[in-house]
Amino acid sequence: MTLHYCVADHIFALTRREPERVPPVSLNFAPFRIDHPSSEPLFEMVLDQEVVPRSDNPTQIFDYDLEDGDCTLCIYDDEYRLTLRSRGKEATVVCPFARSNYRFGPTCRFYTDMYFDGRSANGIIYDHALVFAYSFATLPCKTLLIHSSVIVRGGAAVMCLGESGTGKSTHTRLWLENIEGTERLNDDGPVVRVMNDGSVRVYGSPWSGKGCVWKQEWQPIAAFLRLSQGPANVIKELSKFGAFGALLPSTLPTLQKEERTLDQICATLSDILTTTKAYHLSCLPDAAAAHLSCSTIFGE
Amino acid sequence: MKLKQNYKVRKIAGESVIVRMGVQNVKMTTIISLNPTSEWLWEQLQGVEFDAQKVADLLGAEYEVEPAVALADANAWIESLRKADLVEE
Repeated sequence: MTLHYCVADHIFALTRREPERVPPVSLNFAPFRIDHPSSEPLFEMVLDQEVVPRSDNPTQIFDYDLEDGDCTLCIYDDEYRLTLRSRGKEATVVCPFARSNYRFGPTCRFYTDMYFDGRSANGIIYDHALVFAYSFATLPCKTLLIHSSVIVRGGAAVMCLGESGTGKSTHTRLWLENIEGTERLNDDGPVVRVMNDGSVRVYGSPWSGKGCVWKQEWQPIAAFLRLSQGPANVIKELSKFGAFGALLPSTLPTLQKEERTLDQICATLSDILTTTKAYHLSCLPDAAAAHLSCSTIFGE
Repeated sequence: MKLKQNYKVRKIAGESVIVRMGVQNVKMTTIISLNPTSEWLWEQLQGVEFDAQKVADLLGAEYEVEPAVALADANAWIESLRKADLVEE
């Protein structure tokens, strides 16, 4: 059975091969489910397909950490294989492609051994498998998942950037507590999309970390706000180069390993930064920091 | 010396940058900004063996600059390339 989802106006499908089996619908994905897709899905992921081990060596291997687990990405000439491990569970996602032209046809197809032959998964593996598939498939559509916490005020969004532990969630909470008319759109992995007319939107997504805000809505972006901890609250506008330096590490590391995917990330970031300002805020975890960034960005 | 191969100058919102990806779990990704003169030198010297004098000659031919100043600028430019690990000796 197949279920359809829509995130940032991109439709995708999750399929169990056995017709009577329903793909799991976790709480964070429920708001994004659609019953009647208006077009063919951009990608499909088959959730219970056997993954046969390969005997040849990958051309590149990368290891990286998840919040509560780790991943290994193996790049072969004809496919990506991402193995995810968390809390005793393991699953591999396979993304086959023709390296010569990277053409997928109308629908990009992934498969994984999650749920194959009675296996189970957990939320961390399930979520990250879909982050990977979604990010890969939407890359040619000028769409990027940006690791950030997003505040909305007066119909525009501020996207807080920084490494884990910098205080992104803390800073957005300080806005919510101290500034009238603010709300949170997402707390971990919102989706930024450059539209055909060049305008830039940030969409809520199923990937929101501990914030648990899974909103099926979008806003224009007022500014990016790169945070770092400091002895006082100081804000300054970033150059385009500085803004690029803040945004590139906030995109998915898995897709920065090959020239072609890095090209697409850079092209999309260039479009985003052409129209959108970015600031650096060195800050304390206090109300004054929220007031300073709010008055600087919204000019009040 | 020579410029290291496989570094592409990318245009990001009007600025010229080189992105050097970190080596497996060891180095962080580095992003290097090139001003117009630096980018022009970068293009001129692709695949070419060069030294400070060669850079100074290029600068002297393109810009109105005293030879001594051009040589000092050339040395400074090469030093910044070395710091960014963009040349092989």
